[in-house]
Amino acid sequence: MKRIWWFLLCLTVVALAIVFHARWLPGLAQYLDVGTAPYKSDYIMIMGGGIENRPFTAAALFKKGWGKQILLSEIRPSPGRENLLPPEHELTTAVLKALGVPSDRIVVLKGNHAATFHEIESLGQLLAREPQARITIVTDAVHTRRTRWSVRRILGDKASRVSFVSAPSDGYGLENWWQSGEGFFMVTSEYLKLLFYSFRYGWGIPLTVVAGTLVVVFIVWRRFRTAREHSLAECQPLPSS
Amino acid sequence: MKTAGTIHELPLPVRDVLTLAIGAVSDRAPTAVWISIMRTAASEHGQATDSSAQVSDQRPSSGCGRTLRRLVVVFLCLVIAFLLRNQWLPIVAYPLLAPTPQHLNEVTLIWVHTHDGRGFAGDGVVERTASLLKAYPKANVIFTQGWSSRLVEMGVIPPPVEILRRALADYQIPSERVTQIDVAGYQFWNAARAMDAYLSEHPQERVVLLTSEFGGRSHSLVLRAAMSAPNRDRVDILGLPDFRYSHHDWWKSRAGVKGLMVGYLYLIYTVFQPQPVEPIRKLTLDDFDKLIPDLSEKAP
Repeated sequence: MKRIWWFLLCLTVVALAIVFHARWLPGLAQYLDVGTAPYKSDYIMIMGGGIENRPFTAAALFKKGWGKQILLSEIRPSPGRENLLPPEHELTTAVLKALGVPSDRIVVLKGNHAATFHEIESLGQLLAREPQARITIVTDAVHTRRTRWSVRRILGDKASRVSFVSAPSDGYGLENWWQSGEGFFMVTSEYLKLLFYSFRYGWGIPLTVVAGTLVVVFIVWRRFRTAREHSLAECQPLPSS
Repeated sequence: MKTAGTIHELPLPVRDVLTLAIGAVSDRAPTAVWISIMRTAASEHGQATDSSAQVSDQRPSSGCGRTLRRLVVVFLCLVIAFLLRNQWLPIVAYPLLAPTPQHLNEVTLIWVHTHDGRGFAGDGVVERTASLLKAYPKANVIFTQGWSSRLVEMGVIPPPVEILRRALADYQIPSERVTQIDVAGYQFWNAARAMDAYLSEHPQERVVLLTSEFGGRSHSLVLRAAMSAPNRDRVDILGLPDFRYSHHDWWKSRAGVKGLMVGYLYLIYTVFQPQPVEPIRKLTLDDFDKLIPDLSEKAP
């Protein structure tokens, strides 16, 4: 009987979640967006992987005087894809030049940057050389949280020198992301990537091991206690009638 | 009685595993189960057993011991799953794959598509297209483009159809064999609608769509939603594996795991929403400028 009540409760919660999905789904995307208003900075860094929107936002920031130079990460093409198009950082440089950014204001961080974490590692090396520099990172709104997580993880105290500006995305917004394939992919994959980052680069594995051990210990302890209570109950003398 | 006799006849290692499994799901300890089996078997063979030993062994085991046994079984299952991963992990990717093309030798059109307006869907598209064109000299390439890249509009890169023609020229394929059809909209669903209209006008054509291996099933679902049944039956899908992984070994690389995740996310979305809810609004260069505030003296 108790299980039926639990089942009905779950069913009700799911039904309410579906009916009122437009109320809470935007919150999932808004949680990922930690972008702020721009700060004056020495470098505007463009994260790789968003050539259709990030360089355009960075160029707008540069032209309005929010940054003195633009930082890019070198991104080498995957094997087999070298011949059709130039590498992404070269395309981004070409876009920035076409948008009016002088080539002497574009700085490329050398290395093979296959992931957000690698790009922030290179940024850390730059900040080690220029500890007073202020950085504005430009990336997609839903990517800002993972980028900030990486910045705090790698840069530690220097993370306060970094701010984040969200670049708008074509085709979806934070308020209706689930209505387009691109938006659905961006938001859901960001949550999965956050989970992956916490395991790969954070405390995810030790915390999971500790939590798993505690759960096992708790289950064994509860079983042991129940068995002992049963044996004690069996030893109790029957009440005389 | 018959069951116990059957168990007794099993080889010793099988009996051990069976005993452990029964003990794991039973309220009685494995030893108690085993004694029970042995007692039944012994009685069948007319042997006597010590009744006091039976009583002590048949006492219900503690919950603690039972839980531990279940944990051991789960752990063993995990170890077996790990050891046999090469056998079952490819199956995880099967739902993402399109059915194997049945009419590849009858193909007259090779359909190449771009999603982002820069690259082509699937790795090795150019090489595969060239080999198909050489194998079927009467076949041609039909190209569709959903998203129109800003990089093309700004002249930073040439249009993708030109990139394709130039790449095929390296394989001595003349550019006349590549035709682009107009697509009204930015998504693959729009391209599928355009292909549907084209096939209605060209009833003799048979098409093979080249796309990424893990995008095969989701593309198939979009085709099913966007095209009429007779035209859809004339389109096969050929999934091209990524250069770095395929469904045989996706778990061996980070790119493969990511590719599988991307494939499943798109598949899940396509199952529920194969056609676009509303047309995509493309941002203009002015939109980017307007979103950035002007620098004032009070700026931090």
